[in-house]
Order: sequence, then structure tokens, then C-alpha cells
Amino acid sequence: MSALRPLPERADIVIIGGGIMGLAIAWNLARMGQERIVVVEGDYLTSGASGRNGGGVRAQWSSETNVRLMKRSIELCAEFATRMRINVWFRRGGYLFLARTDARAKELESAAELQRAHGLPTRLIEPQEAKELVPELDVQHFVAASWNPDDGVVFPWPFVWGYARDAAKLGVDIHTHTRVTDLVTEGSRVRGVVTARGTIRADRVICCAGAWSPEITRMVGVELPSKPHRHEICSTEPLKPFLRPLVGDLSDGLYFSQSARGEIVGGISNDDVPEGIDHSSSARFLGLYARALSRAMPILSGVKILRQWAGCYDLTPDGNPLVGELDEAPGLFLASGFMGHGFMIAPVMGELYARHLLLGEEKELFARWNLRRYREGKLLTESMILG
Amino acid sequence: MADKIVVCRCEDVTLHEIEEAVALGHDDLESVKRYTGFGTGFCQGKQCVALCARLVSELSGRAPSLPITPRPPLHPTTIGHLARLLEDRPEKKR
Amino acid sequence: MPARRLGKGQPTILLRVDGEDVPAITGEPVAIALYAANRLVLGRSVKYHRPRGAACFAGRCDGCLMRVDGVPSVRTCRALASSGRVVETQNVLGSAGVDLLAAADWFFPGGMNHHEMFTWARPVNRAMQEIARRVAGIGTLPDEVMPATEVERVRVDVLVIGAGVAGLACAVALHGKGVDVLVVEEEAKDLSQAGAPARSSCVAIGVYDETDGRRLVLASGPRGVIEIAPRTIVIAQGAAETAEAFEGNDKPGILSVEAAERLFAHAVLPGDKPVIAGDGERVLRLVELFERHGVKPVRIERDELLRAIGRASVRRVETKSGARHACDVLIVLGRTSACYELGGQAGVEVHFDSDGFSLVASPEDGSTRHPEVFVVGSAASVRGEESARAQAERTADVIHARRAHG
Repeated sequence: MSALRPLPERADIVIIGGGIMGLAIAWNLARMGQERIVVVEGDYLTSGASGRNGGGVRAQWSSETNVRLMKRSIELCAEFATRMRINVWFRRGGYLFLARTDARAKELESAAELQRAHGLPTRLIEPQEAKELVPELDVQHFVAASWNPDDGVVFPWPFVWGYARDAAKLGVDIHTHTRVTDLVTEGSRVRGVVTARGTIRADRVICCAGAWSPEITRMVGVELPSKPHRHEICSTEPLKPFLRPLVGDLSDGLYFSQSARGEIVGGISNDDVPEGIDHSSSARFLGLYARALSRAMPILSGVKILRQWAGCYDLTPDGNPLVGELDEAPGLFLASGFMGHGFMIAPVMGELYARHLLLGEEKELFARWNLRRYREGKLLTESMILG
Repeated sequence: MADKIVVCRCEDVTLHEIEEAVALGHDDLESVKRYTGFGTGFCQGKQCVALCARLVSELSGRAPSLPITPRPPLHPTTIGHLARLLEDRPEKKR
Repeated sequence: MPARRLGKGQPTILLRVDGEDVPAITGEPVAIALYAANRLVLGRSVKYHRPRGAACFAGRCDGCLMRVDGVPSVRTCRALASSGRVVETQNVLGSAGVDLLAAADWFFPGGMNHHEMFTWARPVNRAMQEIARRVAGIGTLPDEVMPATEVERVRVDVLVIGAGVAGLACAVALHGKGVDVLVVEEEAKDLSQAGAPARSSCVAIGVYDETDGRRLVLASGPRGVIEIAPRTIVIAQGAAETAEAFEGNDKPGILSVEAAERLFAHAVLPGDKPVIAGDGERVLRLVELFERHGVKPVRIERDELLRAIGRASVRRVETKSGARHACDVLIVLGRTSACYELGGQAGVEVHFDSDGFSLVASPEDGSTRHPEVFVVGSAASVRGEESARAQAERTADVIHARRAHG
């Protein structure tokens, strides 16, 4: 993982970004026998969104694809610790989505129906039952809640290190502190990456740069519809365990859960954030979060916040990702635009991406999620985005 | 039996754990913070970050860089004291 | 009894500590009262359940966290004693002195790699995680719902953060020139005679550049949060001792020099068999304080410290050259590092020297790379009261001159 080793001149596949997405794809490719994979990370591992998220992993989504994929991701999370020999503190405490209005409750009900069709135990429950699950909740503002006991949370950092360590064992060459400054091209075709520490030529370059992805594609003149958007999060003093599920409220984007260390970790939507990469903290976030959290769970009013930080969402206009090869720049592949849920989808995306590249599987999904849908006006939907 | 050398007392991080992290390739302060958890407890590094910076630079042979990014609130702050931060009220002159 | 009160004031009230009465003086920090009563072990650490006690008395460590009046993890060095306050030990299975979970300490002698332990099989891993979850955390939820407090909003031209020598000198000079200035000070100091508007027991928790273009400083005071909108910020938060690495360095009864100074300031003798590690003027002054009360400290070099021994609190110190000194308190002069956090967040460059961090500011006039942020005193590595005062006054001149010239 050290930055000190020289870069190779050639590779078969270069992955830009040592976040969970890049490392999951690298690990899956290597496991399927792909050789000469190089991952270049501009900073240290976990420096980007992979190290800055709340660790939620859920299968409660409103689109068929997300439900199917996330269900698989959760399975992969459950076996990660023993497979990779690193603790990711995966805990199935469930996800409890609160609905404040009948309209929202109806929406959650139809999503729950879809989820049940995929074999999930999701169901709509009354506020009283929600209170039995989480006695500290103030349920008077809610009309219903959607409950899936199988969703869970992980501790994000070791997930990244686990993939990195095992990928390295399988021969993946990972270079941190190696920022990509340009792409090597021949005509419109991408043939490698230029970094501050040297050039690596490769016929396939996969951009897994999260919120930095638009900067990468701009190097070959391609403007992505996705935008970086600061998302803030904070954690409290460590408390003895009392809260099992992650609680979310789609109306204000509030979510919170209790980490393995006992802290209440959570965030909230903030509509007053200009687009752009920004890791600074705001007082406005503290005010929004504290107000919403003490309303949802009044007893937390007397608990202390220890630290706040920020990461960047990679927001697409239709809430769906950008994957597959670019028509405009053959040889350059995208794995980006994962909104705020890139972390939880990465285990399954890694698997699908490797199978797509090496075996040609999942053609339909990769076509549907390709950038060209914006040119062709075939936008998709997903209504269960948090934060 | 030798007792522990505790470098971060809030999170119970030992010198041995710092050495192990550096040996695993986490050779900058931010990475070591994340791997060992030093500086993430009640005092948010006020006691330990200078010591950890000295240790990591000794162990990795690299000059100490910046401290870990300071994370506000710089002292533990009660949620109920922040809940009315956004209330729109006229500014009060002292 | 090793620690004792030194005449001046005598306790008149009682605190209720784990069901027992502990005498205290109204208005002194609870942690001082506990120390004076020789209650050194105040809790247990988070992973290994090692005994914890106050180490800094300055709101900079985890040692004095206790449940106070039904609120978890309160820093008792900051909570002031009043009659009948209920103080409870946290994170113990048993008592602060005998904690059954302390088995974790000898079970993982070097420390634990919590990333890799028990990952060989899923059922074992699941069981481990369930146990880990149960022992995680320090406090439990508060007893009662706390109503949200009002946020006070203050506009000021210059905000001075820290009322030490440099901060006060700067504020007084600004105030004298007619500049609208406010000082916030973390300690419960009496600043009524300071000569400039000031708030004590008020700690800055962050400086924020908001998306609406305002630069705000939030400060946390006894009644809640204050939102301050200053044009210029002067940081004068000083420098503080930091942790030193030796075996058993986290035991109760191991204090920084500043902590010992604070005990003396509250008329409490830190111990009657002290060992002091470190050199310099501050140590000499501390030795003198002990000697004034008939106590002769053993002095050793800081680099000679090998280990501190003692089950609950320190009882013996061993040096690298093989000396053993019985003791009831070990005072270590820690290397100092500037309180850089707020300055770093405000955009001031942070620099590492051989001991710790400092904020990069002009020793002449406190100016930094951020035009509206100044740093004065030891936070900017200006040593000595005279130099700090002079720098702070020149800083005030610069700020005032800028105002005069629009």
C-alpha cells in the first residue's frame, strides 16, 4: 500500500480510485484470473467517500434493480469478515424508514411489496410497533414505518482495507498517493493514465473516482451529468448499546444508527449546499441534524456530539449510476454516479463488473445504466435516496 | 510481564498497535488514525496527536506532516444546545 | 492519606458519589473534590477496562468522565461542585476499583488487533461481535429528556479566543482603542475586572464558513451555545502538555505538570510521595510548592521513565537505569503542543516542530495567511509572558490601524 514503489509502465487494466468501488472491482477481477491490474489512488485508502459514510447496508429500495443488487450486497457483507479475515462489524439491526404522511406511507408500501416479491421480509408497520422496536422514538409525527429486519450496518474502513489487502495478495498492484493528472489517448480511444508519479499504459481504464469522476472524464472532453455534493455526518459520545436498527426519515433525509463502538452516527439532507468537492463542516448541518434528531428521539437531546465531518455524494440527475464503457471514449469505463450508496452497492458491483468485463454478463444492466441514456432521454427512477 | 504503553487513552490504543499499523503500510498520520482509532475518542486527539505524530514519523522514517484534520465540535457539545441553532430570530447586540 | 487539602478552604458540602458522601467546596470542580478525597479511580477505559483517573484537570483527556446528575460522560474537571450533586462511575462491571471486565487488559497484553480477531469462522465471529457490542460504549442514555436551549447570537468586530496573558492583553488593548471586542475563555475564570467584555466557562467549538457567506464561531457556555459572527478572530488558546509514552503511562495518579499546578491552585496537595519527571522552570516552581508543605519530591529525567506500576493507581516508578521509587503521584512534564485545532479549521497553517504542533503566525504581530485570523502567544510559539504581551499589543495595533484606514 506504500506510495514508494515505482509504477509499472504497462497494465491490462488500470483502476482510478482506491475507494471501495475500485478495490471491489479489482479484487473480483483478480479472483477471476485477470492479471496486471493496477489501482491508483490519489490520497490514502479511505480518504474519500468510502471512509466518510455512515456504513448503512440495506435492501429496502424502490427499484427492482436496486433491491436485487443490494440483497446480494448484504449477503456479501455477511460473509466478508471470515472470508477476508478482517472485522467489518456487520450487524443486522434492520432499517426502519419512517413515514410522516399517508402519501409517503403508500410509497413505502408499494416499495415493500416489490421487496417482498424478491423474498425480503419488509413490511409496513404501525407507529406503535415501531415504538416497540425502538422505545426511545417519538412516533407522534409518524403515520407508519417500513421495516426490514435483515438490513444492517458495517464499519466502512476495514471493508476498504480488507479488499485492498486481499487484492494485493492476488497480485493487484495498489499505489496510494498517486493522483491521475491526465489520460493517455489515441484518437478518441483511452490508452492509459498519466499520474504525478509516471504514466501507465493500459487498454482498459476504469474510473471509480466517485465524486471526482467528472474531473477524470473531462480529461477526454466528456462532461458527465453527475455532480459532487457535500454531505455531512457526525457522531456522538459512545453509549452502551440501546438502538438496534438504522432509523431513516425520507422527508428530511435524517438517518442515524448506533455503531459497533456505541456512537450514534448520522446525517441529514441539507438543501443549501453548492455543488463541488468540499470536505468542510458547517454549523448549519449541526443545527439541522440536532433539531431533527432531538425531535425523532428526544432523549438524545442530552447526548453530546464528538465530531462532525463531510464526504462527497456523487449525484446523478435520475438517481441511478453511470457504468460501462463510454461511447465517446472507448477504453474508458465508468463505475460512478452511485449517489450516497456507492459503499453498500460496491460488493455486488465489484462482482457484476468483473463478470461483465471478463464474461460479458449483465449486458442489459450495463446498457441501461450507461451514460448514453442521458443522450437518448431514457432516464430512470429511484425514490428511496437518503441524506 | 511488561505493561501496556497507551498512546491514546480515550480509545485505549497501544504503542504496539501503532507499530503494527505502520508495519502494515499505514505510514501517514491519517491512515494510522483510521487503522488504530487513535484521536477518535472523547478528547479527539488533544492528548495524543502530537505523540502519535512523533511516533509515526520515527517508525516510518518520514517527516511528520500535518496533524489529523481537526473535526469540530472541538469540545463535546450537547445536541439540545444545537437544536435551536437555525431558529430565525433577530440578531441580538450584546 | 496521600492527597490532602492545604488549609485555605475546607469542604462545607457533600457530593453523592456512587452512593457515598464526598466532601467538597461549592464551586470547585467535582474532579478536584474527588482527588482531594483520594478517590483517584473514576472509571474504566473503553477497550481494556484499565482504571482511569483525572490526568489533566483541563478538559483535555478522558480521565474524569463520570455520570453527573443523570447525564452520561460529563467531564468532572469542568462540572462544578454543588450540594447533593449525584456522581456515578461508568463502564464498570462491579466497581471502579474491582472491574470484572478488566480481564480484557491481561487477555490482550500488547493490545488487540480488533480488525483481525476471531475472523476464522462465522459463528465465532458473530459471537465475538455480539460480546463486543455489549461491552462497547461508556455511558448510558440520560435519565431525562433535556429541553433544547436557546441559542444566543452575538455580532462582534473582533473575537479573542482565550483569556491567558496574550489574549487578555490583546483584548484590553483593542477595547482601549474603542474596538468592539469580545473575549471567550474556556476556564471558569473571573474576568469581571479584565477591562474588556468577556465570557468565561465558554469554549469555542468551531469556526465555520457557511454557504451563505457568513463566518461563524460557535462557542459552548454554561447555558448553551452562542453563535458569534466576528469580522476578525484572534486565537490565543495557548499550548498544552501532551501524552508521553512509557509503560503504564495511563494509570490514575499520573498527572501533567499543569494538573499538579491546578491542584495546588485549589489548595490540594497532589500527594505526599511525589515523583516528578522533567526539567525546567515549571518543574522547579512545582518542587518549591511541594517543599513549602514539607514534601520533598523525587526528581528524575523524563527520558529516564521506564514504567509506572500500581494496580489501581501508581505506586512505584522504575527508571531505565534501574532505580525504583515508591510514590503516590507521578507528575510528568509532557512535551507541549499548541492548541491548533481551531486555528487549523480557521485556515491558519499548522507546523510540526520536534515536540508537537504550532500555528504559523508572525511573532511580530500575530498575522497569519488568513487576513482575518491572528494568533498570539504560545499557540504561535511565542514564549514568555513579556514577549506574548508585546506581540498581542502589536496585533491590536494592526487590527486597529486597519479599522482606522477603512
